[in-house]
Amino acid sequence: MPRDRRAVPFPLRLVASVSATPLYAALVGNPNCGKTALFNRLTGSHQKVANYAGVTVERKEGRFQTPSARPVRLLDLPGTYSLAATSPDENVTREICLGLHRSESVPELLICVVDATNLRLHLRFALEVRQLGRPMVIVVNMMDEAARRGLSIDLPGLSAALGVPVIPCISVQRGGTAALLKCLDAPPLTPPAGPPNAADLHAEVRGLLARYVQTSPTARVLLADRLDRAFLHPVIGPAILLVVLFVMFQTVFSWAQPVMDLMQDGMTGFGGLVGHGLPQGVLRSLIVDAIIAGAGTVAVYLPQILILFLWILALEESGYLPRAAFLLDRIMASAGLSGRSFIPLLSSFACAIPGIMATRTIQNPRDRLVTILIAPLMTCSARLPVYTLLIGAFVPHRRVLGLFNLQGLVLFGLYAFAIVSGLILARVMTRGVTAEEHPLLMELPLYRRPVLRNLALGLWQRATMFLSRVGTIIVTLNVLLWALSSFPGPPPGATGAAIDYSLAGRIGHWMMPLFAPIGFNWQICVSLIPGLAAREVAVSALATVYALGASDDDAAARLTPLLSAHWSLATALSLLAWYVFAPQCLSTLAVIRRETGSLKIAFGTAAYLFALAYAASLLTYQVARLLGGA
Amino acid sequence: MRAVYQHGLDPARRRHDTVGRMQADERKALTMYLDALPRGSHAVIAGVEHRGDADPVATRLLELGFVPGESVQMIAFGPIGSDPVAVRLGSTRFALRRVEAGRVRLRDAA
Repeated sequence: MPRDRRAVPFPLRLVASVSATPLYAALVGNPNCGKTALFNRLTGSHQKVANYAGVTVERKEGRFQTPSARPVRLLDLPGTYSLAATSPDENVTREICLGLHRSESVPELLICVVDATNLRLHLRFALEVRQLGRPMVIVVNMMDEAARRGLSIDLPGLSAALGVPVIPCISVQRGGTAALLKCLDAPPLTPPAGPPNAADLHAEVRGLLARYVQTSPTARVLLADRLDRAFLHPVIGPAILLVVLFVMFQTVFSWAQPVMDLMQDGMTGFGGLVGHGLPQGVLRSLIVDAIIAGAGTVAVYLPQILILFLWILALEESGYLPRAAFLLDRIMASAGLSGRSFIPLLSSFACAIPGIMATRTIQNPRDRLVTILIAPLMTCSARLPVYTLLIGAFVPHRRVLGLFNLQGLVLFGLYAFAIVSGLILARVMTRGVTAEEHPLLMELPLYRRPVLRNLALGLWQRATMFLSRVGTIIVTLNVLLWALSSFPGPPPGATGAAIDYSLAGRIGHWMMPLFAPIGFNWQICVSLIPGLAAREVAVSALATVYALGASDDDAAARLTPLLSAHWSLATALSLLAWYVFAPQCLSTLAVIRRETGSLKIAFGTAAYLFALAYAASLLTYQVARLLGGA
Repeated sequence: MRAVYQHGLDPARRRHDTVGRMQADERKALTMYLDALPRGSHAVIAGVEHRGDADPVATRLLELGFVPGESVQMIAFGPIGSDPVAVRLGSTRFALRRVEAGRVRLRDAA
């Protein structure tokens, strides 16, 4: 490529790159054809990721230049098996290819990507695209893999038969796209030549394969068979999956924790440093307690999100994720979902934010929405401090049946209760939907070694998306909560905690009539408000309300005797039940808003979780009182 | 609710079958569907049956290449209730639920 550039005299090159309007091309192809790898190879980091207007389908656009400095604007359309769309993302591809989309114009050139090792399936789609009669080229990807398998494809013959350029490509290799780039220097902007397709596309594909492709089965194919024999085995398969998940979550917790602690300490240290240079007062409190602490809340999620996504991207790229979905499909089907919902839900036990972001691997839009809606029910790690505090204060440390610790049993019960409620709710939300309308029908792609470059690009996109979209909402809400808890300040000579005199404190008191039936006192009500920022903050907020000083590390230890003296058992149980549903995590609601693109769904989630939490607490409190727990 | 049926005796299947009466019924009792293919076995596809007027699953099966004359192999059963199943069609593998595989009619093993 550099040599080509040098061949063009400098002024001419400048003119060419300035005057030429960019070529507007789009990548189309079946899922698993290597389209995204090709997109990454061509555009590198010059990508813009957004959503198509009105739908939550990811829109990826990139820019690059051909060897003769011709600029190209490239759209990566969602993968689809046919132009008869069955899902929103397939519909985007269909509408853009047909020129029906309301905000995207028809691409000047369709680049149809097919997998050389899977021509029987992919060529059919290429023929369907050819029927559109628009300028197109066919890129035969993974030519290296085809050669390894002893496939020889007569590309000139195929090109002559179809009347469109057919170009070899190896998107995972540097320089593997040279032929395509050369073709784009002088793109064929004429419709396909030659006779139209036959009515039966499958028959035509068979005819083409018989004439232009020679196969000789080799050991490579058998490797996939052998791997599947283990991974899909009814006993060994689930065992391997369990090990993979175990290692995955070990790394998510153990690798992320030191980095998270470091970031938290760094943020606190930074806040202290900044606070030192500022005069005591509102401005200092705003910057240190609201903005820096808020940004810290966002940043500490990042290591967990990145490690989890590294796993998910690697498992997806390698071809294992669809196998895991295969193994778990039946369990998830009992809740009206499919196997693909499992990993996002499991991730939500660490934190619902990465879990909800991971639902992007679910193609079925209804499944994705239901998974997002029940993800907040999976007991996230932020609920543990609250559980620990309350269980420590109210559940006696006693052995049950000489074997189990009662406190451990209660904790387990809370987790189990959350899981069962989640599955029941999913079942309720998917009621009336039969298996017929809800197909699995999933391709199990060949195993591939993940390409580091693609993993890095994927991680980078997730990280920037999280920081820019979710981060800004979380910091804004933090500032708002800070203001609520700080203003107005306590009057001179006040004896209670400052928060008690603030707006948050007043709101806490106003909430009392609503929360009295479920046994909450005003201290709990007040602590729920700062707890909106993150659930675990409720513990330090309680400490503040009881005038213990929130920043104490041992706040929980000092709270324990206080709570067991001041609260009834019924109140404690009611608060535990509340936290199973815990609707008050604004970060989760922010990410739901971001992922679904709908404020209505975010508010709806808050409302339904609130209703459930209230009902569960009411039931718990009233029953506990009847049984003499008051 | 998941449809429970026996091979060849599914009333829904008969309803949407347009050819023959008695003879077809007798033949159907012997017809095999993809969901009944034993693990490891090969078979040739005879056709995909539509359930109802517009059956998106059948349409998608056809698009994915489940067309008459193609050879399929059953490669794995799911761990619970042997559902879903994994099949190989040419060099491509697919996971399908049993209800989906039940639409694919196989040619008589000769």
